[in-house]
Amino acid sequence: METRPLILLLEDHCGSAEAMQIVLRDWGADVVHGADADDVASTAGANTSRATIIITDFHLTDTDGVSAAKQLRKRAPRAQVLVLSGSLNNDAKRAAKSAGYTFMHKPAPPRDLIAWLERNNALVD
Amino acid sequence: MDSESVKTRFLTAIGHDMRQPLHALLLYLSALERRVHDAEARDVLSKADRAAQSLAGMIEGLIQLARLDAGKIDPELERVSLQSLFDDLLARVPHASAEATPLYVHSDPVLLETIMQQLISNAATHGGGKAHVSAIEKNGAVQIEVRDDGPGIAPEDQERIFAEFVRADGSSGNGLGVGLTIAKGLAELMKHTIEVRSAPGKGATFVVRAERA
Repeated sequence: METRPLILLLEDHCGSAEAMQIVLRDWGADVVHGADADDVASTAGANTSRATIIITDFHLTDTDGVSAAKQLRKRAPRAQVLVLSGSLNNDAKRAAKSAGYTFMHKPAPPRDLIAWLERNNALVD
Repeated sequence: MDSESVKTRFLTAIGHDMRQPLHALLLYLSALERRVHDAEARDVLSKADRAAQSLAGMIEGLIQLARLDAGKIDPELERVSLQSLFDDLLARVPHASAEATPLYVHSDPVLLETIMQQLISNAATHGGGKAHVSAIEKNGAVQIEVRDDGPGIAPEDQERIFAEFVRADGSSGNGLGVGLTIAKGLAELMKHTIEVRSAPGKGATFVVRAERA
């Protein structure tokens, strides 16, 4: 049986999190969502290591998305990372770029999001 | 507080608070589009999606303009590979092509990318849809060029198009007419220059001139 890609989603805005999960599941992924890295890792459990994609908002309640993604990648080393932010300054973009992660502004056009998923899922395969 | 400060604070606040629900709205519309198979309903959804994306672009433009007006953008200049910049742009922008280049410039990579996105977006909207990006060295500086094959810009409009809320064609179509204002403002912050070369019927070439690194 073919295994669906696993995406770890870090997002603390309810509307964005719910809408994003629908789009990601429609695309064909399993999604584990949480408000921070511990939350996601705890829900995903042993499955964390098979995650191939991490999508995170930059401004999380107690941390930033780049730090959270780095924390998760220790347990999911194959995962490609996408950082999203509605931030008014360029701090999020700079932090994502310096970590080697992809950055997109919110609101991100869904077709850009899907195109990025297609490219990066192919990379992992 | 003067009226300019009030305007800046207002635009910044609404811009930030509007982004999250707008992000969710675009995703919900995309999810809905997958579930609707009736052609007429899909057409309506497609129009709703375009309207939401247009609104998103306008909010983005207003935020950038407000931050420029408020002097809240501090460039961090470094040695920037134009090839890396072009590669990043092409990966995200479907209607652009680029020539390979070995050149580097002294610039802020984030702000320079924003300038290029504005110029490419301008070419897509007003310049016939396609943008071609290239770079050459001239008189010790580097010229980054964004060329389109659109209707061109009349000589009397070539300075005016960089002003706020101005479109050369006078249309009231997509956008607020702030993209080129933002590109010019960001370029000036980094001591770059930006100009347009064009003639009616012969397309337009926007040129960003930066110090070679």
